[in-house]
Amino acid sequence: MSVFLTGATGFVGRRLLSRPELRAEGDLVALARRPLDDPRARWVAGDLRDPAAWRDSLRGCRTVVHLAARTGAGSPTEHEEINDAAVRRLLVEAERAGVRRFLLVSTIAATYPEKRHYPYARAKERAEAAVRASTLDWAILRPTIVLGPGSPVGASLRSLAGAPFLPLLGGGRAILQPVHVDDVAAAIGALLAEEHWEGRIVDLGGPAAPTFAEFLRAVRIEVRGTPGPAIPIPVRPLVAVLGTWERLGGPRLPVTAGQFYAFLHDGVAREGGDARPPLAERRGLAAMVAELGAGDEPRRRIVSPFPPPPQEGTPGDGPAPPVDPDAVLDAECATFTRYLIGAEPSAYARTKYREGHRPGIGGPADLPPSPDDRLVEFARRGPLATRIADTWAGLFARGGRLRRKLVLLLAILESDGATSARVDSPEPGGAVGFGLRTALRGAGFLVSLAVAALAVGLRPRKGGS
Amino acid sequence: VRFTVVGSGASAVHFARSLLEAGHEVEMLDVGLDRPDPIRPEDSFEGLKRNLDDPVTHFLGEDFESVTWPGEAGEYYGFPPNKRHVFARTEDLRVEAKGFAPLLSFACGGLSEAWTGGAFPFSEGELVDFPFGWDELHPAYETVARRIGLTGERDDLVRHFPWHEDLLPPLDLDEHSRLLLEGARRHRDWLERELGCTIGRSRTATLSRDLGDRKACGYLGRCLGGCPTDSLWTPRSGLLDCRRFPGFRYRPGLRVRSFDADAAGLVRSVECERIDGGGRETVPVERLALAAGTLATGKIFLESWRRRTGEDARLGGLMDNRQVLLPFLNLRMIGRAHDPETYQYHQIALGLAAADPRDYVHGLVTTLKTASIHPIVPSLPFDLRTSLGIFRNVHAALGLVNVNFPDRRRDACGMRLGAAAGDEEPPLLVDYVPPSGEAARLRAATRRVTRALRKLGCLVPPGMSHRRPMGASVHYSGTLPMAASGGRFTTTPDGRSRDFENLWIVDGSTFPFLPAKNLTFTLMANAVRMAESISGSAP
Repeated sequence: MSVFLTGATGFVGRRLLSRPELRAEGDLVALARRPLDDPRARWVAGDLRDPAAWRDSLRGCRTVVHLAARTGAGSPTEHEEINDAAVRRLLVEAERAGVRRFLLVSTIAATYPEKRHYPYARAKERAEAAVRASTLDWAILRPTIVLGPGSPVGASLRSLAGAPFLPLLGGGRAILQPVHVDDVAAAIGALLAEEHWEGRIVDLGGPAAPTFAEFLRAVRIEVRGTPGPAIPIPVRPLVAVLGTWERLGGPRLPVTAGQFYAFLHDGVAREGGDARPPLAERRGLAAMVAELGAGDEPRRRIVSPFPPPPQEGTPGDGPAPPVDPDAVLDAECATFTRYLIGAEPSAYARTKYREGHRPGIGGPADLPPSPDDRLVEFARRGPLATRIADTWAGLFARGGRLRRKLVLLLAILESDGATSARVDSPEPGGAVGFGLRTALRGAGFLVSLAVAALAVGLRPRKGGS
Repeated sequence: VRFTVVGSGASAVHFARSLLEAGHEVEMLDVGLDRPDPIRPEDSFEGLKRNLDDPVTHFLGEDFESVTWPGEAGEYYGFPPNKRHVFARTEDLRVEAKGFAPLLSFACGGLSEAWTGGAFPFSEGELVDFPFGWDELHPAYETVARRIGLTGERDDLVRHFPWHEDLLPPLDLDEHSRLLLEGARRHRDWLERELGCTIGRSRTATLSRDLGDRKACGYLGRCLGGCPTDSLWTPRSGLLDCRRFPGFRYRPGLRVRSFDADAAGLVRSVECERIDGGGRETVPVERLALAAGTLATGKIFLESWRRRTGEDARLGGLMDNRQVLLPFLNLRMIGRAHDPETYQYHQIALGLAAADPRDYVHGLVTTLKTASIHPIVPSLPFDLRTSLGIFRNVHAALGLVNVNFPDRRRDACGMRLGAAAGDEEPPLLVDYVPPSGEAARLRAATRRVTRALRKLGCLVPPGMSHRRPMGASVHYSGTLPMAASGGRFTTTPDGRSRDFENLWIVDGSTFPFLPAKNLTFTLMANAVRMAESISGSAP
């Protein structure tokens, strides 16, 4: 008999492949969209949403271990299709194929008391219900936040902790109970080693449960040596705004309301007595923080989550018209000037902006190509997009091309008598006016920062399985 | 007697002038990169933005070289294009430094072309390591004050900077500085009692009334870009004064590499590189004075020593002032307009007393008005629109304290020559190791300054203080110290080398101790004192 595994190329799946309990089950059949170059498994290429590709491979399997999931900033439809409907389909096909056991690796988020704007958690909850209703011998594993080498969330947390200041979403009060990926793999292995599951639900967390603020500070000390300043960022208003936006079907943003839920609710495992490995044997918080701080692999380059703008023209329109670089810079100068000072640039400022893009002067043209260049593309869409992209750049790409362009423009605007007053003179209202405006600016910044920070911290992992 | 002076900086021009006044001849050898002529000297800072056809090139440079690009380690303000000559071509002289950020200048007028005009005499207590006291230096301070025009006020800071005659009335205060000073006077007793902190008027080499051909400060707000009316004295003005003497000959375009001495130890000539690419030139000398600045003077001395003895010597005791920049926000100035048409450099100084006067800590308070804002705004932790919106309303409230710390000669800090093949010019290797306990001293002093600022109603944003790298203050000194008695690589009290009979060292190399104050005024006064001493003994 053999095991049918989904998500083998993912973060947990890769660690699970080396567990001896998996091999003890017999042959391993692994469904994945990307090639799986592992002699221990037989790769079945296919998408979870397409049963024709993998249906036959279920035959002869005793156990299904279902790891694959869509995480991050997926749309509600994607979450519905991959994290709920596809699981139901897999259950049906497994029952038909004579599979005996079904292990669903779910998430602690499925236990959140409220999931109105969190389609991922809702889908997982429905998938859990489907598993519980099946005729198979089932088990559900609900890990908390999973850290370890290659952890996408861990790398993002490390980057957040290394930022100029700590963005404490929701005040950093939510409790997280991080668990190491090897302990998750060991827990799956321990379940596989058991003969019967008989409807087991296992919450799995690490030995310690710090608040988000405590955890991020600890990582920051590992990364930068000092705790550094922190800024609390309210999350509930943002969730309401983004959730409404999503329900109204607004254009997709780099982050979703659901990605804020981890900062609204405690992600704590309700431990039963039968979770393996025992709590005391799991990787401790200090070890996980140290591993995160040391960065056992090259620090992940934070890739801009901002997608490039849609390409103009459609196939069949013929070759795209040649792009005039000066026209692009002129349009960019106008957008960025509106963003910085709310006015149109003079013809002189546009000329100087173009001159500032000459190669060989250490300006924006002299930076090597970088994934962060997509920030520039995104920022060109308009002043609001520029603001979101710039907030992100201010945190994670301070020396990048977008910041370099904006600083060049700022230097031009302050030197030009036509605009210098708009750049560098107080607004009317004195200290009181300044206080009110600062409060408004602060609120705007916090929203922009939260969108940007979440785009980094919980940006979507590629793929649905 | 004919003296050959190497360099045209603050020491050089005063040394030369005193010799010229005593009837000697002076030939000055210098690289001498000159500044561009001031543009529209009648225009104010804001007027330039309005009236120039291409203000961006004026303020940022042809190649935007004065833009402080984000992500680059920089200061809170950069050098404008028209001061670029101060640090141009210095790659001609290779310097490899460890623990030290060396700055050199080949400008006509040297590094002091970029100074901020602070002129503070050393106190008797700060001179205890020098082979002379206040009484011997005092007349020279007054001579310099008369020559260059210094402003100052006889206030509480007299306890730290001794009073001397020939000071001009102080410059007009900008509103921010006025408020700070008013607060300091109101809380004077508390500041003294609790913090040992004295705050008063700075002393600056900027004219508050006409002096000779130089006009009084017109409050154009263009100080940072180089005073267009020469109201702020720089050595270039001193050089113009020297050129009025028939016995003076200025020879720019020559970079002195070394000197040659005969068997008796008398310097006979100097070897120069022509910077126009014309090769080498040997210039015969009767008496030689090195005033090229501590690093360049040390390099010339070491290369000459190597040529003469084949020995690789090391000059220890290199000193510089550690500086900590402390930005602050004066809450009473928030929401008010800044006035760009004011004097831009420090108008206020502060002193932190110490049990040993040599541990005195010196601060210069600058209210930022016409500094470029593009290097400052991106340093705020927000998006640029938010940062700019905040900045433009607090610009008038911004200030910066430059806290200076003393340094002592230590063998661990010094310079030597590196290896070179054949006729190749050897690099200068500079090592600097901070003194033990430095971090604690910096923290303690910074805390005192922070408390003083808070008392004056200012906010000191946490985490914004900036410890400048050693070398950034450009107050290099101590490698060929003067002493009443000593061995090789020292000088007599009048700067005569104990290694070469007709060689004088007249720049900061001779300082046996470096107080926290800007040393430039004392460099000039000491050069005058040395020249007068030499003249008195000259045949």
